[in-house]
Amino acid sequence: MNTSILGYPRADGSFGIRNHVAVIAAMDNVNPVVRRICDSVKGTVPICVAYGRGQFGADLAQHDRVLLGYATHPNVAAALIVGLEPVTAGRLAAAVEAAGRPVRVLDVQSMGGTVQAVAQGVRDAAALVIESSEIVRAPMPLSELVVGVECGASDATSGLTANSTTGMVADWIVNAGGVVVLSETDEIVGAETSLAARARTPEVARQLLSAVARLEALSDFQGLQLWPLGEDNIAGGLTTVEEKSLGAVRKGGTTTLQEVIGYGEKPTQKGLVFMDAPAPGVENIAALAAGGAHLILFNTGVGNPIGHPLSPTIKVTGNPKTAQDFSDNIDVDVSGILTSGQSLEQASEQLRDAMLKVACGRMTASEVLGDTEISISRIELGFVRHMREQAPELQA
Amino acid sequence: MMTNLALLIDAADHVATAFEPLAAGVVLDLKAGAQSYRVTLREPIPSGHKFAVTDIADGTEVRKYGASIGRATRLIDAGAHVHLHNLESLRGRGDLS
Repeated sequence: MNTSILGYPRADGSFGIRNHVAVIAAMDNVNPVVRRICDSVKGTVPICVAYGRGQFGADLAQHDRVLLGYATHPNVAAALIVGLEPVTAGRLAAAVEAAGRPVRVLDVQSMGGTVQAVAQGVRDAAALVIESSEIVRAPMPLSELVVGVECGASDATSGLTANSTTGMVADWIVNAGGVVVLSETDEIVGAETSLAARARTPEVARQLLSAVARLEALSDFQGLQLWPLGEDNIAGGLTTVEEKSLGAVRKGGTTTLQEVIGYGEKPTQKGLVFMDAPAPGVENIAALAAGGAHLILFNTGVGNPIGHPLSPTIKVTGNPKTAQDFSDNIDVDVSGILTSGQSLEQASEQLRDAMLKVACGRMTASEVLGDTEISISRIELGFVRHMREQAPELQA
Repeated sequence: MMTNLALLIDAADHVATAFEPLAAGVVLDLKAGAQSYRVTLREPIPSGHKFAVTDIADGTEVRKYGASIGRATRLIDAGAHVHLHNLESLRGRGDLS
C-alpha cells in the first residue's frame, strides 16, 4: 500500500492537505457579506459564525481562539477577515499576521455598507486565491498528519463496526508518528477509567478525569441529567450515556493517552490526544478543526451528513441500512463487518486507504455537496464562577 | 437456530444486541468466551436494540462491553427488551441532585 502523502507546504514548515482561502466572519452580523464574497470568488471557503457579539470572558476567548485556529489552519493558505467594526476584525487579523500567515481584513462600517464591503472583499479574496494558487503539493511526512475522530447519529452498530475500525486506523496513525485527537467529553462518561489507565502520566490521567468531573458538576449545577443521546440514538438502540461512551471511546484506538487539551486548542504532543469538547457533531468538528486537524474521521450509525468546511470529513458507517439508504453522504462503508464477514483488519485497511487518498486531494461527499457547517460551543459563565468558587481543583 | 442475528459482546454481559429485527419467540444461541446462553425472546426486538440474556434483578448494574451501562429499574426477565423503560443511567444525574 502507498503510505506517502502529498501536502501543501506552509511557510512555518507545516503542511496542509487543502489550499483554501478562508473568508472569516468575526461576528454573526457580517455572515451575509462573507457568503456573497465567497459566491463570487472560486477557491474561497466561507466561515460564518453564530454570535461574536455579546460574548464575554471565557466564552469570548473561546470564540476568538477558534477563529484564529481557522485563519491559521494548515489547510488554509490565506485568510480574509470580515468584521462589522475595525477593532475586533483588526485584532484577529493582527494575531493571524503574528502567526506568519497571509491575511487581509475589512470591516463593513468603514467600507460604508455591505455593497462596498462585498466589492472590496471580492477584490481581496481574488488576490489571495491567485497568490495561493502558486503553492503546489509536495511530499508530506505522515508524522505531520493530525486526524480528528468523531461519531454522530450513533447507534448500536457504531461501537462494534465503524468506531472499532477507526480505532485501528488511529493506532496506525499514532505508530506512523502522527496525531489522533479523540474528543467528546460527554461520550467518555462511563468509559473514562480505561482511557485514564492509558495516560502517559498521572497528571494526564487527572486532567482527563477532571474533564469528566466538570461535566458531571455541570449536570448538578443545572439540575439536569447529562443527556448526550438524540432521538435517533435512542431509536437506534442506545439507552444510556455509559453505553454510548463505551462504543464511542473505541474510535480512539488503544495507544497511550499523551495529553489532554482544551476546546479548540492545538496538540503539543504526537500520538493520541484528548480534547475536552462537547459531543454534538457540528460543535465537535468545529473544535477539532480549530485544533488543527487536517481531516476528520466521522462515524455515523443512523446517518449524519455534516462535515467541516476546512477539514475534509470522511463519513464512515457500519450500519448496512445506512450504507444503502444514506449512500449519497457516506464515503466509506464498513457494513461488511456485519453482513459479509469483513474483518476489522480489512475494514481498517479500507478506511486507511480512503483517508490517505483524501489527504492527497480526493474529495469527500460533504466537501462536494457543501454539507459543511460550524458551530462554536458557548461557555456557561455562571458555571465558570461556580467552579472557581466551589471546586477550583477541577478547573482546566 | 440462528446465531448471527445478535451478538453477546463480553462473557460478563447481561444483554446482547440484535442486528436484525427479531420476532417474539425466536430462540437464539449466544456465546462470548466460555459463557453461552440459549434465549427465547419474550417480545419483538428492533434492530440495534438489546435484550436480556439472563434474568436481571431490580437494581442490578447492567453490563454490556463487560462494563456497567446503568441500573435495572425493575426485574428484567431473560429474553425481554432492555431500553429506557427498564434501564437508567447512573452518571451525570444532576436531575436527582
